[in-house]
Amino acid sequence: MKHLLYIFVLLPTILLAQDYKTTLIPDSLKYNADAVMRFEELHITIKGIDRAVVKHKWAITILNENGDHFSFYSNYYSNLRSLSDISGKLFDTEGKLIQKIKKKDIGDVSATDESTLLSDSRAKYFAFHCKNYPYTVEFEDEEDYNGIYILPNWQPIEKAYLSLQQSKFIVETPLDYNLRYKQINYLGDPIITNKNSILTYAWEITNKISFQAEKWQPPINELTTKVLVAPKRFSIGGYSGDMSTWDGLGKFLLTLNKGRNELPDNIKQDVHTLTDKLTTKQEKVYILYNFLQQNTRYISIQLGIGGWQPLEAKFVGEKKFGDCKALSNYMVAMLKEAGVNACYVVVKSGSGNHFNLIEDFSAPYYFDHVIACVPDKKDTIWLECTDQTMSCGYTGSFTDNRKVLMVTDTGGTIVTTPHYSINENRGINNVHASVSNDGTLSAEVISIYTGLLQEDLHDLYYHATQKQRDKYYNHSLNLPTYKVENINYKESKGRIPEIEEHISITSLNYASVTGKRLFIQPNLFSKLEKLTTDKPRKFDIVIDESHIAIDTIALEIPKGYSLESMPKNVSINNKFGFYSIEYSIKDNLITTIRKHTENENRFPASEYLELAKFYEQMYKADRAKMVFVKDE
Amino acid sequence: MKANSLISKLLAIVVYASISLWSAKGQYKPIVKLEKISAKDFQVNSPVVDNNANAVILADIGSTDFEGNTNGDLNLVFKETKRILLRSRNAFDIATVKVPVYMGGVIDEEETFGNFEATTYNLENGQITETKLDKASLFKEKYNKYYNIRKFTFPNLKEGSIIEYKFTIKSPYYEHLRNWQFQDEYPVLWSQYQVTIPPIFDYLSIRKGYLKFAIDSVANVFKAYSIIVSGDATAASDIYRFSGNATAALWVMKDIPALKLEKYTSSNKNYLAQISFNLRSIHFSDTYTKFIVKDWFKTAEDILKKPDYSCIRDNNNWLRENIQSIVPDAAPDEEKVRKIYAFLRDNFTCTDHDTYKQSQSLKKTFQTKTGNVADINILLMAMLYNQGIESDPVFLSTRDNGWANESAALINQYNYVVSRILLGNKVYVLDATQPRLGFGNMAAKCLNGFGRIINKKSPWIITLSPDSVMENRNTAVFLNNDSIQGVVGTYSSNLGYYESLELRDELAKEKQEDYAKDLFKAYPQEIEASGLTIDSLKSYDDPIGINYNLKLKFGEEDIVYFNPLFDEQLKKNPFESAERLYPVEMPYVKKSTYTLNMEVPKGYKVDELPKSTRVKLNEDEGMFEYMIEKSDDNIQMRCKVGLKKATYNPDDYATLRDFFAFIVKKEAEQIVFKKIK
Repeated sequence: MKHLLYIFVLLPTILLAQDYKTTLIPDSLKYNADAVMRFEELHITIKGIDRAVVKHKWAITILNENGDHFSFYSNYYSNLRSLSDISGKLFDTEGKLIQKIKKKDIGDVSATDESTLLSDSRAKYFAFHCKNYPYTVEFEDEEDYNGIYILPNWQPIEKAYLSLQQSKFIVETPLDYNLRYKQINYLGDPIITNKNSILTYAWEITNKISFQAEKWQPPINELTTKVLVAPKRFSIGGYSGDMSTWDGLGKFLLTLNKGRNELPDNIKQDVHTLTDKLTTKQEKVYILYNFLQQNTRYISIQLGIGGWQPLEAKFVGEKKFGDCKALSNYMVAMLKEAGVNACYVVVKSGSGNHFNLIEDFSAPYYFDHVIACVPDKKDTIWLECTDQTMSCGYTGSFTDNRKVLMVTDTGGTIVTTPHYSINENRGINNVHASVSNDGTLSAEVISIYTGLLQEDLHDLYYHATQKQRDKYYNHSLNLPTYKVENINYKESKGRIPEIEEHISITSLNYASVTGKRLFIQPNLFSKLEKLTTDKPRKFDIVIDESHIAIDTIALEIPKGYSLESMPKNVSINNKFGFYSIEYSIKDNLITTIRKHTENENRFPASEYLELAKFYEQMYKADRAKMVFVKDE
Repeated sequence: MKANSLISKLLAIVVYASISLWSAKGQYKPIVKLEKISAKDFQVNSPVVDNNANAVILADIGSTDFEGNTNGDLNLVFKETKRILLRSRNAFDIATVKVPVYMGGVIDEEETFGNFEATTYNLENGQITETKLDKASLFKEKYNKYYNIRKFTFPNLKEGSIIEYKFTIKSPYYEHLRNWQFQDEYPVLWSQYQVTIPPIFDYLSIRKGYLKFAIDSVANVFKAYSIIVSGDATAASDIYRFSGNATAALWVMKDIPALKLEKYTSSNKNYLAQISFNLRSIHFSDTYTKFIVKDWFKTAEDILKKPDYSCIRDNNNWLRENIQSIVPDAAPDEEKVRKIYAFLRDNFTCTDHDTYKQSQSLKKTFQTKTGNVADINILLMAMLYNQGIESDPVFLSTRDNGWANESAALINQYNYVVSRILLGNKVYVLDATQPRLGFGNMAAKCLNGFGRIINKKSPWIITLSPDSVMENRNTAVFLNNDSIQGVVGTYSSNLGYYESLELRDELAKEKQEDYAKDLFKAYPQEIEASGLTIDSLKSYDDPIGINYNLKLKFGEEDIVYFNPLFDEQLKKNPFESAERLYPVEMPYVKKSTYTLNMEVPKGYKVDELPKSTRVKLNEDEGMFEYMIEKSDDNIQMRCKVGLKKATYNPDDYATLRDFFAFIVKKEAEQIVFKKIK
């Protein structure tokens, strides 16, 4: 009996065990890789409209220290998604099993972040530690979906320096499920089979060589293979919908939000007191946004379906806090109370090079944030409801220039948020400075920043104490021993916010004074860095923001010196942008004017060396020195 | 059961006769109950509150008492009331409060959290409105095995709101008498902590920080305690009463400035005004006192008796075979120690550098090649013992953990364990948990004053002070005229020990060719560097040597400005802020010497040479020397920067900053070559 049992248990293991000998990895996959995905299978079994089981198994060989993070396992779970059957194994370079995860070694922590008051999200985690490279880890887990809204996507190569031998994506669905899918960088079609009234979709890739991260590269989603899957009909937390169109997804959000927009009576009264006498829509929006900013704050609460459903407007009215969903829903309710049509808008937040949603594939997983919007044929106003200091109608880099889903009274539609162009993103520095006999610099700087360029200053102005500002300035300038004083700001709110900044700087030893010479770098602050050119460029160059910077510097040097050497004026105009620096000297006053513009654009990789040359020229010109000799 | 033994011993308690009250000395009196909030509380006038304060802690009042419980034991009763004025939105995050509640330990029961109230007060048109937090808005979060967290956020907040909360925690864990932190991220107007301890308990209190107390007093108060042992089906409940002179201590601080964080301090924990408690003894009767904190002889003996440490001297036969594959049986002791140390350092991963307790068995550590700092260093000692080599554990407190009190045997102050060993007549301190660390070296974070040797016969301390660690860097550059290539030469530098360690860590992750590219990029265009070689990269006991070739492309320029220090030049003052509150604590004493020997480039003459200079820091605490001279067609220079110690008082800060400002200035100077026409 005992023997039988052994055979029964061992046999399948022997049959299924992968050979993780590291010599089986082709050399081409090891080149420039920190790790190699040996094998992966992501297997979704859809049991019905609101139930799915996701099994994930993968094995990665780690080649060096930089790949160690692949030996860490972690996954989230919550009331709507349980996590079980976690297993993990560690193999040496020969493929011999040397360690297995024991259940008691798996950590279990709350996954609530600092800004969240309450959430049912938790995480399980485990890490292998091995120093004998290469070694292999194999992990496996199972998730049980209680309700379907967002299904996992398949993207085997999620980051740079990872190669892949084999990865499979399998989705099993009932016959009538109508699984929708979208392939990115995948050649061919999935293999679809029908067996016992179950449809199986299978995708597979093999032998993919790692890529390296590059500055200004396109979004990762454009670079590697990805398959998105989504249901047509779905159900979660007692709510159901059809997401096969954006309108359908919008309708679902309407159902979730239904009945949650009732304001407390005192707030209704406040809304009327504030807006009844106002005539234009813009005025009403402005005053209510201001009221929202003065009277609420951001506190995140995410429990079960509450991860997608806003807290009631009544709750926000009483407690004066909520998350992005609750605050946007509350703002929309107030605007409607004032007779202004407004919408709840879901968006993917974050600045920089982001992945836009795919318009012909409607699904909720693009989004992680909610804002409000007052639609208008000519003058749509966008409102970030979680920020208490932002200008009314300015979206900022957090939600600008992207496609978003606007929830209307009847459903949903895709619209685009504002795009800030070159003339709206300006940084103008005016400097009056002098150098004393011992080389000390004193400078008064008046700067004006607008649009995307004023965001850092906005944070310094509103969210930093005077001491933090002192600290910031006293670290950020590229000067030897210096001190920044008299920091002042003046903000002009508006659709394109503007901040004027005044600072005074003294810098010891700014100029180098030797026995008879004075060395000066007349361009004080704006200094660009070089681009690296040691590796051939692979990807397109994506510059995702346009801006213009103008510095005018008037620098007075001590009397009694004559010019010995002076840099040449530079002016370069090319497809990447414009750069110029010009000097003029009158008596002991040096005037420097530097201009630089950069345009949002996309260039093929072949133009990278040309761009690097442009940066090299600017690097040199920014740091050019003037030398003066003491008159005898 | 702990409870029953406590009861039986308690019956013999002696009651002291004398009763005294708070001595009425001093101008301040403790706050018994906070006054009702009035309009004037919304306006704060205090020397420590300026426009920068986004919040002001108006009062933070806490106490710990003991009371009998129904389990035949005593509870600690901790009460806190805190009142905060929120002046700006930027402080709203402190309106979300998290209170950790302990539930671990041997008897596994959660401390009782109760008497909770939280209220927001707003001043609107001269009227104070109150919004109470409903009880349903108090949340409980399972944090980990040992703690649950009670969490809540205040409703109806505005800029200018006052928030107030209070709670009581009853705890059976009287070894965990709660510490009190007087100072905060925001200014505190009044912080008060009162602790009343029954005569049977003796706690040791430790104070930290630079601030003075407004009240600091101890008095005897008469207290009666009753303990109930609950009955069951067969027995009725028993009540035990005892009374006596309890020790009542009261600490108050007034007008406490906000805590500031600064660079080059080892740990802010050293400067934060706080008081902490350690249960020293329980006096059960005249004839029996249980000492929890003992002298170091007894403490060391106790530590070594526990399985954590006694396993070092167990008969770990299974180790023998494994060790034989690392070092032959017949090898001399020193070779054995070095090989075993290197084996652990190079093959094991330390996952937790913050404990002196083992987390698993020796065997498991050996098999998984993973463990915390105690697991690995205890394994080191066990392996050595197996080979007949004696070593002692050394406890220390790392720099980020703050200073440990040298005299009291409070092991909770320590968070790290290493090993001390005598080889021949030389003492080595070994830590096998730091990758690439040289034999007998300590990681910089371990240099925090001293370590305590855990040996029952000689529990002495060993010095682990930054002031005793010298970090020397020597660099030499030679440049000659070459008839074909122009000016060519070599750069060679021997790094200091810690700089070598940092470079080894960097090169474990980065390719040497990438490192070379970054290094060479720092040179100006007219200087070409190539052919990097790195000596002793893998011999961790030796400092690293860096060598490469230089080629100067002077070309057709009429005037050449040339910095003789190249990239060795200090470009920025490391001491940025203009003022300093706390001492400057650098991790080691640093010295560097740079020498240059160069021929004047062919076709050029020297038009200007920087002047030689020598300055001292505070007479003998540091020295900077810049010597340069030209003889015939040769330029020789030597530049030395040397500090004599690693720690400087705030009073010396301005001098130190000026000293470095001078170095930055001097090192920026250039040699000017002119073409001979």
